[in-house]
Amino acid sequence: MSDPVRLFDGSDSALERQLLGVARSERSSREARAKTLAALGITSSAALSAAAVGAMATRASIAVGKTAWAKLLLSLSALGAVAIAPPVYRAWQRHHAAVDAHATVGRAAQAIAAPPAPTEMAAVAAGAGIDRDRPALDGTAPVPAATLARELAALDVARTAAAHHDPRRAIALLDAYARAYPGGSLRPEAEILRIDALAQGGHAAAARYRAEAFVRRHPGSVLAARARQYLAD
Amino acid sequence: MQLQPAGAGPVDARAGEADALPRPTASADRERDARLRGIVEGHIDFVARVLRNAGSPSAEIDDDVQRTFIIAARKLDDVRPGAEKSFILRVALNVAAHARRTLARRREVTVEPTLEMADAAASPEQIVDRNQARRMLDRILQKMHADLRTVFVLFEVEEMSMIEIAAALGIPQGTVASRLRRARAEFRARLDAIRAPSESEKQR
Repeated sequence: MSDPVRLFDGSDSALERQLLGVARSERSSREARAKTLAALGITSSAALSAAAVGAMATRASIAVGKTAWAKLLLSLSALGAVAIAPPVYRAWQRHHAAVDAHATVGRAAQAIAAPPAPTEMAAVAAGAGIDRDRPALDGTAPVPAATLARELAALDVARTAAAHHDPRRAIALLDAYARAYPGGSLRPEAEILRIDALAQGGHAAAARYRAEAFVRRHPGSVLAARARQYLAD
Repeated sequence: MQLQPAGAGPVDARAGEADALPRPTASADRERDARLRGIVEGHIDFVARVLRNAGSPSAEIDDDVQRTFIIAARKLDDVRPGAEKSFILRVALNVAAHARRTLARRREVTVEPTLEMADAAASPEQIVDRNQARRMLDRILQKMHADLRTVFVLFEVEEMSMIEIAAALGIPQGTVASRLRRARAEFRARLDAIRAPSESEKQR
């Protein structure tokens, strides 16, 4: 069975071709990509390499930390796993904590103080070979790719600090993020990281307070499930 | 107000509980991360378009894209290599269906969206502006039955072959072909209906 010619190629109606052409040309927004990568925790090896983290050993340790983060998110989003995920995550981190944790965090922190080269970071956010100037599907004005990449890098260093059992540093880095990007696109992700870090640091009441506020503000958010675990505790 | 940690509390009080947990190898985790990253990079635009054309509200596309990949990542280990696109497609269609149901529940009274005059004035050969074109397509797609719309979008927008569509949706090729025929007829009829007012005006 051979496929018919597609309407976009063969229709005698210019309007039909145009409608389909518009649909074909659409792309995800940069925010969607950044939020997805942030939620899955699979950005930092690329982002931090752009921030001049060069050594293979260091990069490997970041990959491990990132994997743990992804596991946390994924397990939290699974029904029923919400309550047990944090201790499992922390235990898993103990197994995998990188030897050169402080060096990694220290170098990574430079991503906030001295943002890496815009072109490299733009490539991180924009995706190699993909034309990000095409229309985004959410109809909003696009955030510059370099800005999103820097936001991602800023959250990554905070996440790396948390992954290395340094919640105070994670919170300090999140404060730096909040100051640098008061209207940032990844604020919900940053708030979830802050709630995690507060809980990790033993500040259960503060974590619960912020988690309640988060759920009120973003009841339908995919991240709300993570906030709700602190309400259930 | 930024809440700061007050002093050095018990940072990791429960960490010792699960010391006996099985330890996944770092290389396996890196491979999994690389696979996940490849799926996101390779399919995020596809997912966004599928969600949009399957009826996810445009204001919620970013969240639904994120949701799709989080769900997909959770089940990634069960997906055989090479089947990632079909898998992510099915997840996206489920997320979109959920979004449509949520939207329907939110609307106590369904208000039929009215096309602007500029849309109605488009003739068969007239090029309209991009936003008008998108609204016209939305109006047509949202009235189509979901089964027809899915096949139509995958074939006409995503340029998947009928064989690929059949495999991805788990339906026979003959079903894909018949749904495509019906979807095309409906697409054309609905577009004609949108154009009709301007043509009747011309005849007056």
